[in-house]
Amino acid sequence: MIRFTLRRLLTAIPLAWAVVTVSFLLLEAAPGDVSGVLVPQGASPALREAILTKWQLEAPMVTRYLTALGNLCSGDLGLSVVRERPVLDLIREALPATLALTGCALAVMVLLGLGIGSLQALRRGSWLDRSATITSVVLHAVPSFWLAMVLVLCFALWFPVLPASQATDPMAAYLPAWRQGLDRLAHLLLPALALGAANAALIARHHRSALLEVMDQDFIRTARSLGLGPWRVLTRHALRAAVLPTVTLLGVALPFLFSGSVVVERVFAWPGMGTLIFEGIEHQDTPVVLGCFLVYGLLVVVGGLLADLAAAALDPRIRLD
Amino acid sequence: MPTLPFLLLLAACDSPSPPSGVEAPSAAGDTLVVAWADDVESLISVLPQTSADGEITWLINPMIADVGFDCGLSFAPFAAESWSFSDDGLTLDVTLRDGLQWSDGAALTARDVAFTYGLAADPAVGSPRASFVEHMDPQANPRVLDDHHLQFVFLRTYDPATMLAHAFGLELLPEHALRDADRATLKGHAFNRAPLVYGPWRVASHEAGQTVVLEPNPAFTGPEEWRPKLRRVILKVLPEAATRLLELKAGSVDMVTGLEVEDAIALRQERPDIDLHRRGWRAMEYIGWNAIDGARYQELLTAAGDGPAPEPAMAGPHPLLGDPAVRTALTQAFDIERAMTELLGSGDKLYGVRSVGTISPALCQHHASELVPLAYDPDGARAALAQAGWSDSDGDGVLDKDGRPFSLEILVSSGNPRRERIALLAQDALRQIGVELQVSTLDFNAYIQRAIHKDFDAMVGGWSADLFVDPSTQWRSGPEQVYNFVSYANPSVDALIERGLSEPDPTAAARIWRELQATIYRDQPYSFLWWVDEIVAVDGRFQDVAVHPSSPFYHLHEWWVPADKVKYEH
Amino acid sequence: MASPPRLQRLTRQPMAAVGLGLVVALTLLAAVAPWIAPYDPLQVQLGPANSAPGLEFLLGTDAVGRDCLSRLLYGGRVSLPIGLLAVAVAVSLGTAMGAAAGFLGGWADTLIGWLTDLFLALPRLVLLLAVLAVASRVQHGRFLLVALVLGATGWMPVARIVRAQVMSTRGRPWVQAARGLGLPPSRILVRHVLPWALPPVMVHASLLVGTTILAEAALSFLGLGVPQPTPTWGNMIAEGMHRLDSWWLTVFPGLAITAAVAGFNLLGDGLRDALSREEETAA
Repeated sequence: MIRFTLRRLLTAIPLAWAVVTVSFLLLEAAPGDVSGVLVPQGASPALREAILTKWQLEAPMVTRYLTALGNLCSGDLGLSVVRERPVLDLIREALPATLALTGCALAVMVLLGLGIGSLQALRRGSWLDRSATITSVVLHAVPSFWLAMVLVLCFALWFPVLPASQATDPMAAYLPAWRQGLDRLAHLLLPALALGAANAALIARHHRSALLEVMDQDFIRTARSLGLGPWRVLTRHALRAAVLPTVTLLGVALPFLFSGSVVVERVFAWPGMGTLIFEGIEHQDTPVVLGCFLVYGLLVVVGGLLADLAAAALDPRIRLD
Repeated sequence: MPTLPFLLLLAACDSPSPPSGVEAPSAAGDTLVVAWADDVESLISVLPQTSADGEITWLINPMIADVGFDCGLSFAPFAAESWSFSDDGLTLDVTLRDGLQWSDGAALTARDVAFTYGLAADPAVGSPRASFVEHMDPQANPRVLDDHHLQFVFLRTYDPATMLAHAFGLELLPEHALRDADRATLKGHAFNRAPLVYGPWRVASHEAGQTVVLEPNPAFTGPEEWRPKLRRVILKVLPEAATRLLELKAGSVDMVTGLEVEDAIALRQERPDIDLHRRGWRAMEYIGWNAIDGARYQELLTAAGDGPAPEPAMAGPHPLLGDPAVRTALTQAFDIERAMTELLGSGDKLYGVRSVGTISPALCQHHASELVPLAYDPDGARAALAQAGWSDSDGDGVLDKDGRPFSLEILVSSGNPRRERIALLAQDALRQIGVELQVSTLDFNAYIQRAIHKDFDAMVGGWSADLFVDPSTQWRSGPEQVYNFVSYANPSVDALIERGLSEPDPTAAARIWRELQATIYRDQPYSFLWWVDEIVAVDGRFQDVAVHPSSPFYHLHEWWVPADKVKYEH
Repeated sequence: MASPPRLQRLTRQPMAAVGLGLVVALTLLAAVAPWIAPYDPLQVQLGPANSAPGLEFLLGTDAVGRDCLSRLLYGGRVSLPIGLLAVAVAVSLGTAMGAAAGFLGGWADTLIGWLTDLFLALPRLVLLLAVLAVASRVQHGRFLLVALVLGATGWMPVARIVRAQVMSTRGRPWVQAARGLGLPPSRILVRHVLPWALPPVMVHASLLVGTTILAEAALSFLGLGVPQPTPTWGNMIAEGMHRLDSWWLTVFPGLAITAAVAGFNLLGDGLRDALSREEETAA
């Protein structure tokens, strides 16, 4: 296991380096003077000088690149030209909200996907199975931001039961802790649903076929003929078979989840990195945009690594690959 | 209170509030939840601020005088207990109240006032309020006499109300907390997130991008009647107008400013429990016509490189819009009255009034109410253009002259639906007389950059109403006047501006300003459209709500909720 | 000499037929939009602004009175072609990369494999945002820029498919024979190897159009796509966000996107099923 982990780490590091390099290249490609991009407009000559020196903006490209690499590795992502605060601080403030949203979306994906897939397999051929398949097809074709807006229309405008924006109700801070938790959950529900539903459809489909395969196998039939009910069979044998492909799918779906979170955050005014990057684009705050790009890329690399490790922990065959 | 030059004008308070004193205020108070479009970024008054910044700064660290409005600015004592002008009108002596303290216990003294003004004057800070000290003696802007006495010395006299506005207009900053701060990165300073306060309110918490919570300042040492009656005020950041309205209707938000007219009208019917207040003549909207050749000016700018900006007149007049007769024709082709009723009103309610200049109707003495706006006259417009040599020689529906079609690009800033509708309406109207307008919707930064660089033919724009008259920003000629987007240059107007700004007698000044407005209107550098009222919705349980021209939170400390209507018990 | 399997008619499968039907219908509607659209999509009229769907304006009007149905039809003329163009770019690029990796092997394979992994690891939308944000001042030619950038971020699966096919085909007898005959490698590649990759690439291309349309919609929604006033399905939904209670501004463009993407997805699935059945019968 350790050897496997090390090997995977070794492939992850070049990827991380590549993400950093692409960020640098994008910075170089920004139209206009690079210093115009990194230095805030109202900066004094002294501050300008300091930033130019730190990023070696007057040096040849190779030196600039190595300095940028050094800066980025030490956590210096530059100053937001609009807010004049370090980009890392802004990201640090926004990251928890995005992670909470993405984590909940993952939970939605797994619960919905496995649940519906299992139901479909158990009731194969029924109208439930067929309508769930059609719903899957539709959900997979639906833009996540549109689904988000439809959910807002349904559950916040026409039947106002859930909040339409932000992560918390400001008045909840003065309520007991359990009500605060409930409030946060209520705010998470619609965005997580919007983000996770499309990929839940994917998991449902794969899980359905995986389950059907497993259920056809002899030992299942034996178990059933021995009198074990279908649910028992399902939970003891079939689900175990489902875990591995699901984990793999989760790893594959991560880039899409992070991408989708940008638009979903916009619809819900969610105070996460999606809103941060969008405002960065609106105000042409290039250090913020590139800092977010970098962090997203790294998140995906880390997430993929974790998914691979989890898969390997579950299935010994992978480790020997 | 937001930046003094961009404050409001006369409020025709539209909604009936029950008389105060009918029910005793609740002892515990209630919470006011306000939906706001921007987040708080900087609580340092001398820096460029968002609208949220401006309102909050004014609440936590007010100016030294309580600024009111009645046909013009009026001032009442607050931190400044008393003041007087010298006989020659050049020196202003101010006495500060005793016993004022910052929230960390340090005394508030005249040195804090001097420090704040010093920051405004410092080029390293790059303050947009540097103009406040423009006419002050650099040795005395202000001069500290002792802990509670200071002196402003002006280099010349001008309108007394404006002089006071300049002397009292900055929200205070504590010298002992910021004296060592790096002046170039003040916006990133920790003070913005944890400020020292001396006013009736303090910042209890600020979650970036989400909420700002204000509570009454327990260390408040000012006049007792300024102590707030509400328990807290929460500013909830919601960038989308549709979301703000949704939350207002759902009851999770008590107050929303800047409502769209259709929404206000629908709200009036659906929710009589929500009061609608009108902040009158808050801003004016216009279509600006570039007087100079924008394309040629871009070439001159590139040639000038990093040097000073070239004189706009050097680019030569705009080939299509340089002629005032043409601009007048364009104004007459657009049915402004009808557009105003469509965009700003419905039925009996009209939230706007026709505009003839940039001096607001609220400045009663100075506004040229006798000027008659141009009437809608498409035939007259066609005739005027024909006389200027324009005709449709190739029959494509667009006028042309010497092979050049009358085709213009009009810039609009995205995000303001009414401005976009104005552009589209103008496009439609001008199409009828053979002028082609291409609408370019840009995000605000791109839009303002092109406006400043004069890289446009036409633009839809707006100005917030000034509380005192200073037409130099928009109408004085010269390359350093960056907000004179259309490069208006009329030497007689420049002369009138000079005379008016240095005229201490209000009656004489009024005559000068009226003549200025008439001259400008004749030249039609803009198609002046209208002055817009802002609509503010506040939940009906709040009493003594004074949505004032200067701020929707005017005298917020006086707002209260009767005990039986309190919504948030905790 | 064996030839690549032909595809059976898709009409035998209901879902794929539905997919084909949707794709054809939407493409036709977009193509004839200038003739069937009831109003000019750019025509502003304040009177009927913000009206709900009704007899005069079948799908309602937006905040400045433009007819939603017409805008929807014209929107297809942006969203669909961008999707198809982007996929064409992606397929070309991916085929070239995959063929090089599979045929040349060695360092080319390693390098291209690593590039593929890199691009797959980056969240596509975030990469698109970063690139388009950097190029935000370019307003003209936005259509081409968006299509190119979308294509340049979608080639990876095609490369993998082509590489796999090339590697499995290059050992086959007729390829060895062609080599023995002294035919130039490029000719062998193009005439004898690549055609076998065509069917799986077509399957994937169909699915790729779906995801590309979704990506373009997201870009338009965020304001980075083709600029106003040209209607695209994405920026129509963005307008709908400003006026949530005008539900028709949001619902219909979203349904259009869903129909288009579902159509291409079903088509791709059908192609995949038909292909695998072909392979089974051929085996």
